[in-house]
Amino acid sequence: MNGRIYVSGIGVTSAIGDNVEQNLESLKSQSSGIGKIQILNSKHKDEYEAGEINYTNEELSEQIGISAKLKIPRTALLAIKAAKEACESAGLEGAEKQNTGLIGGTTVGGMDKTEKHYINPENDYSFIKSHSCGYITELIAENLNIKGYISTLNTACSSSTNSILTGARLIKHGIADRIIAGGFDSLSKFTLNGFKTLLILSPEKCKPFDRNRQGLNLGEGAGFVVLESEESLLKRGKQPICELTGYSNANDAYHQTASSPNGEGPYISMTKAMKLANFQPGDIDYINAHGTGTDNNDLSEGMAFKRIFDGGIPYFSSTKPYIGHTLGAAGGIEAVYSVLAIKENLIFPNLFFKNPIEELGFSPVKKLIDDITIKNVMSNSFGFGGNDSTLIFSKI
Amino acid sequence: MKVYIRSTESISPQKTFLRNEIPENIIEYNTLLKNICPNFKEYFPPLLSRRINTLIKTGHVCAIETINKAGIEKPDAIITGSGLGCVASTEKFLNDMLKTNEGLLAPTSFIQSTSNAIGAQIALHYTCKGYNVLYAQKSLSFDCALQDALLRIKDNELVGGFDEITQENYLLKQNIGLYKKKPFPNLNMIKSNSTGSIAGEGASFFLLSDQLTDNNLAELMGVWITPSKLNNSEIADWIKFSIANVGLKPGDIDVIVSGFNGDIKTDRIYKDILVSGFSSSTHAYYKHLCGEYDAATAFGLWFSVMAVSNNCIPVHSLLSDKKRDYNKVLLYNQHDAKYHSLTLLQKPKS
Amino acid sequence: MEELIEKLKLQVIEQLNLEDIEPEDINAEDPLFGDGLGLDSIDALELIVLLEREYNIKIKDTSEGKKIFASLKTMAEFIQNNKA
Repeated sequence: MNGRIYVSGIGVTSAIGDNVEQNLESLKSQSSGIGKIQILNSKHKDEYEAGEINYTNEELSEQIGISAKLKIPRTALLAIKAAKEACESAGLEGAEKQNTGLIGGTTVGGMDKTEKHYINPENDYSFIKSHSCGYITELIAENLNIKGYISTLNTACSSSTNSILTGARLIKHGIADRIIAGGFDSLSKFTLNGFKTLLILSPEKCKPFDRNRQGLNLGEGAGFVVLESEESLLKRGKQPICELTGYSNANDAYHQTASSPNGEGPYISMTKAMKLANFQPGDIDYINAHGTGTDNNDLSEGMAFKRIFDGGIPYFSSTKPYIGHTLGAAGGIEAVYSVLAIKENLIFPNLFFKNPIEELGFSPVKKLIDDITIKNVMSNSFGFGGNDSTLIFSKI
Repeated sequence: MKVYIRSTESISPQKTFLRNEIPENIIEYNTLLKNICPNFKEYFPPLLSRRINTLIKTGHVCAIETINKAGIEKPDAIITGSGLGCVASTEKFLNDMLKTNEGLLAPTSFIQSTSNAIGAQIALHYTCKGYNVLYAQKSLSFDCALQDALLRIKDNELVGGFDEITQENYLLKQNIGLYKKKPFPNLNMIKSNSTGSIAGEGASFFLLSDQLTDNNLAELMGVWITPSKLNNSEIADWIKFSIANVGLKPGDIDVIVSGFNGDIKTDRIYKDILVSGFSSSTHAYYKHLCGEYDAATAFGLWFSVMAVSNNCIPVHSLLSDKKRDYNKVLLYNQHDAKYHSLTLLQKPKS
Repeated sequence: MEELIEKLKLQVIEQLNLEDIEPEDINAEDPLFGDGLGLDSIDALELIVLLEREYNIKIKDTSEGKKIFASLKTMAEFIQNNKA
């Protein structure tokens, strides 16, 4: 089990852009994509803002060259779009794509379609097959002609971070040379109503790590990285973007949905990821935090920062005020943003933040930082069930 | 490094729980095969019990007894696989939401609908802070989990596969022909000439360890997976190639346990492979005991471990018996000529 | 008030799925959370749903709910004071 893992391609679609370039522009111009819900036909659309992508399913289908008549779940449309970009960005074609694996991450799979047809199928029962998480990954593979290993992780909000770390391990064990790994989730009535029952949806734009934060905004999207072994890159003559130097998954083992007050699970996942990378706390230049804007997560995650970085908290921010909490896609999208931070030497701000949480006494980055060299970026995703995962990307 | 299965438990539509062999008497079903569950009140105080749904209870109890049997305090990692996760809770929340037109809803069924809730509950019980993930890749869900466990083995790993069937889900799948449209006795599954499989559910867990001890049940020699659509000749080649990785040929396999499920389209593939590639092996099958569901290969593994450790398979699960000792057992599953998985076991050497 | 408390006991038992608990087992002044009945944060959310559905009283978040749900007695008093 040896060998370095590199990122050779990235792809993303979110409320702040159709692709990597557009996302980067929005991140730099510090403009949030959270706004009125217009596409999801929910009774609560006027009560909550979300990071919705402003295309109908028909428009998305057309963009990726699939017939809208197939009524593919929105989640799959977003996923195919981002995975396609990741493949192109890595310069993967033909046989190379066929020997590439794919690992997806999602929380509710094809639920956006299921909920439309469940009570009144009107003779369209295709939702029965398209509901499952694994089916969405299968659709991506089919669409992109990927014939290698496929699988899907579902660990709630840390799903796609786990997809990426699983991909890295499979490459290290020689199961694959290249893996496209990431995640996807579209907005759905199921998740909107579900989070509503937990009373953690913010009535305004979310402000992670702020003492007056009122909860999260939901979002949708998809994000993928292409992970590749050194040998595979040499063979293809391809230059990588950066390296995946550390990763870890741990369990908080505290409560089914809430995080422990002292951030035990996050503390373990961050510490173990740094240990794998052979890093000291001082080596981390920027943390792309999970930072959902809920009372519980931000305090828990912040306490973990305090415990690890004790007095020397690195620059950190949550990018969820830009795009919302994209659930299963969060890990994948935020991995792409972490890679961009390294590639472009940027630190993205934690929008809408004003005042630090009293128990923490430190603040995230408030404005874009662009006069800095970024070497090592940590990305966190923490999910229900105490599922806590961390990735570390590094400049080559 | 060798990997062993130290212990296993299965809650299934047969009397398998807390037993150490494949039952001689089969419980008969004509429609969906439902789990025979233990008395959950013995495991969960009322305040906790109401907080967790049936699937979480089933998985949790199965895991507890697997850990007890292994004689360890707690697992170091928990790796699980489930195609659809908590279907009952998902249906409840979905139905409530749709029928009230997104009216006032309660949170419990939404919280319980998350697929990784079983792994989370086990972690809570043991305060296990280690690696804990759930794979959801249809009929490869458990196999992906098992392969992950095999690759990362260090210390004691708990691996499990589970799926549940509800009346609602059963009717939907019946409607599109995934399950048989008319009542069909599970006892007759192997003779089926019609499409659609029989339907079932279950939870099976295993404690994997790299420690050689006297009470290991089996050695896990390898797990191989391919999602690709293969014709019969390609399947045979893939199986040969896979087991060659551990120095074996088809003739070395004492028993091949196949995932026949009553759907003639799928089953005829098994028949061809067995006849052409494994004519000297004993042929066995298991889904007449548990029904078809995404994580059914977990039950298949339980079945195979029982076969290896007891050196016995009841006649009701044998297609052909070559009277060989069950030293090397190969578990093979596919779905519609895709999603092929192989798991190879052998008797642990002392 | 007595009647409301008795009614609340049944509603709480049903909403929170408290099998094996009878109305006689709950004292109106016992703490509902922590010691006493031992309810947790998810139960708090369920009680918020109960208040809205049965009594048309909306509570925004669980911190508001903390004082109201201290005991069945405080719940009943709150309902009496806030019922339209």
